[in-house]
Amino acid sequence: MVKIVVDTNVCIGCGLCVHDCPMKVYKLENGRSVVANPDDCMACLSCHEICPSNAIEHQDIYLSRRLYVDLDVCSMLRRFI
Amino acid sequence: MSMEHIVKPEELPLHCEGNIYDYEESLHGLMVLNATIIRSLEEIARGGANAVVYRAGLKMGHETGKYFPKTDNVEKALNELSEILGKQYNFELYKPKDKASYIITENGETFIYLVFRDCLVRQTLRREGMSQKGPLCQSLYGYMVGAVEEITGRRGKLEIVHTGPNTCLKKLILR
Repeated sequence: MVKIVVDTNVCIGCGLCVHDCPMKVYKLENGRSVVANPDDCMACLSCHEICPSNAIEHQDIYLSRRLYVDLDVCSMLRRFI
Repeated sequence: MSMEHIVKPEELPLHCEGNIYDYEESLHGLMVLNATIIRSLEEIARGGANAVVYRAGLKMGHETGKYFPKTDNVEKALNELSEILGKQYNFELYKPKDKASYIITENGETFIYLVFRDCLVRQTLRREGMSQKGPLCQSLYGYMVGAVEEITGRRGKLEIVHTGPNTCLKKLILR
């Protein structure tokens, strides 16, 4: 089962994750997002992408392979970071 | 030129050789090429781009479906298809918690939810900064419809319910 952790200290309660999730995994409670239905999470990670405060974390999920990482660009960035 | 320098077709290596990073470069080249073709197609054909890509996907689906034994069990056919496709389009059947079976009947339509995990279309789109649900996604639509048609003889329709960076949710509506 997917484990989702919402950092309530960081969440600003904008409700974007609630609105974006097709499976209604989140709901707003006391102005903060809480995980209401974790069993239906399909790990699309749209909530990750949409969360402006980066408050959501998923554990034990299948990460699809990334083929679009440009190694040349990454190695160039590594020189600066 | 002496005879020893002539390479005969049967002498060409049967296996892929070389550094894995060389393949990665070729793969990136292919992704860029694919994305550019789709962008140009959208500019020229506008709405027609979806139909063209759908048709291409449909053909691919029919071709793949030919390798499967015919069955009227859609669930079994999809599971087998997923296994064969493996890393190209890695998908699985999805069932919301409150549903008893994968085949759901609601509001007069019968459908199955499919969750696509590894997808070469998504990779290409994100590589090139293009939005999901566009014409290239129609290739998957055609692919699934073609394969299901070929294996089960049932006509279908694939609806994109949700697209995400890691997984996409699609609905295969059976007719």
